[in-house]
Amino acid sequence: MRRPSRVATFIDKGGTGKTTVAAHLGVALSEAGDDVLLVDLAGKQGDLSKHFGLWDEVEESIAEDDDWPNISTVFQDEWDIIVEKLGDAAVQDLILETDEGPDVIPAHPGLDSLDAELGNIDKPSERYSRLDDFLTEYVDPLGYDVILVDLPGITNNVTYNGLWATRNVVVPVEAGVFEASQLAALEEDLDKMDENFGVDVGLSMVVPNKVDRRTKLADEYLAEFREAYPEVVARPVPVSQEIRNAANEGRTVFDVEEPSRTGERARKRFADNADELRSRIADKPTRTGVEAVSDD
Amino acid sequence: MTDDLEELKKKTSRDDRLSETEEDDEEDEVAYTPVEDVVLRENAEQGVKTLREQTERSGRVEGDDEPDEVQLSQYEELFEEESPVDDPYCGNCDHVTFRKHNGEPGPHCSFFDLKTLLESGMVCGDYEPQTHGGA
Repeated sequence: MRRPSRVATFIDKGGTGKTTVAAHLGVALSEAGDDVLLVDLAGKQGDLSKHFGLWDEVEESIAEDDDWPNISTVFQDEWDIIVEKLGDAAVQDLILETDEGPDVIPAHPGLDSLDAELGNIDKPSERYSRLDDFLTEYVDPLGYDVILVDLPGITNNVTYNGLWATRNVVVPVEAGVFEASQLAALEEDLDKMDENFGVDVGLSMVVPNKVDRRTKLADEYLAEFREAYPEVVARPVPVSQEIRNAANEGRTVFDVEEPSRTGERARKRFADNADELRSRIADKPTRTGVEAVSDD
Repeated sequence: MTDDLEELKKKTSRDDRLSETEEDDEEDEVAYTPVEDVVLRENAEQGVKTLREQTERSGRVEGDDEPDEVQLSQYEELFEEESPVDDPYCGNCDHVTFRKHNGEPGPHCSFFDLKTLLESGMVCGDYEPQTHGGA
């Protein structure tokens, strides 16, 4: 059985468009023929699901007390027992289909307390490998080509689970000084993860997002990003009201019938970047195994 | 839904887990990133090493002066029993009200006890974090 490629969208900063990039790369990969699963760990607000108009369904299930098990349950000690008792339905019920191709495991309010709960697990190899275990044992056999995990805009135990499980990270950045420094900090963090825990997480792609080429500043930062990360900087995605409008309507810009020029350009850029991403993550083994990890 | 599934649901559902976490919050439990883990661990290891060196030095001097005197350690004074480990203190300070990671009184200052202390501000006033080693 071929393992799916796994990748996470992450930067320790809010507002750069992580979720938008995850949703659009997911749809672009799907349109190119891949079977894609999106996993929303980015927070209880469920933005990834909102991109596909699924959040009402999630909220309804919560209101009706029909929201168990959910994504936060898979991190619990009891998860294996739950699957044993519920069978395949335990995993299948987590996954929602979208109209645009990818499937989604939506966020849940239970993610709220997950960071603190994971912090109570003493051994790093157990604390950070919960998502990896879940994906490997229960999701990989479902036959997806790509699993794309949207992570919180903060470095915490949930984030490390995502990086640990995917070993590939896509970093959406806006053209700004804070993103540049956060990107450098992320690189250092990834190096330390490798050095201290033997977990090699690759910076697969830096996506300049919401780029307004009319400003000189945007060009300057783009040039800087390209100089600093020549091998991984993707094609810049233009700022587009069309993307915001589509998100408000519960869809991506790929689902807009007659997009504006910037909407069209954004769509093309996401498609190009998805192609590039596929080739990059396909070359790299997703998981080297937690056995390589030291608890010292 | 069967009783055991109901029980599993209750145990792994948000409300139940949240209440546990809130209790943990009261104990100032914190989550650590791998990098923080490493820094804290290095601090603890360095502290233990320093204390051991200090103990060996003072042991030699005191040994010459009063060879027959047996001094109770702070652990023994506090818990009225012998420490189950060779070196019961973190070495960074003389504070002895260490707790286990779950908040209960602990037998010694393990790596996680030290973390709890550092984050909860329970270390004594003399303690200064040593991120680059050295006492």
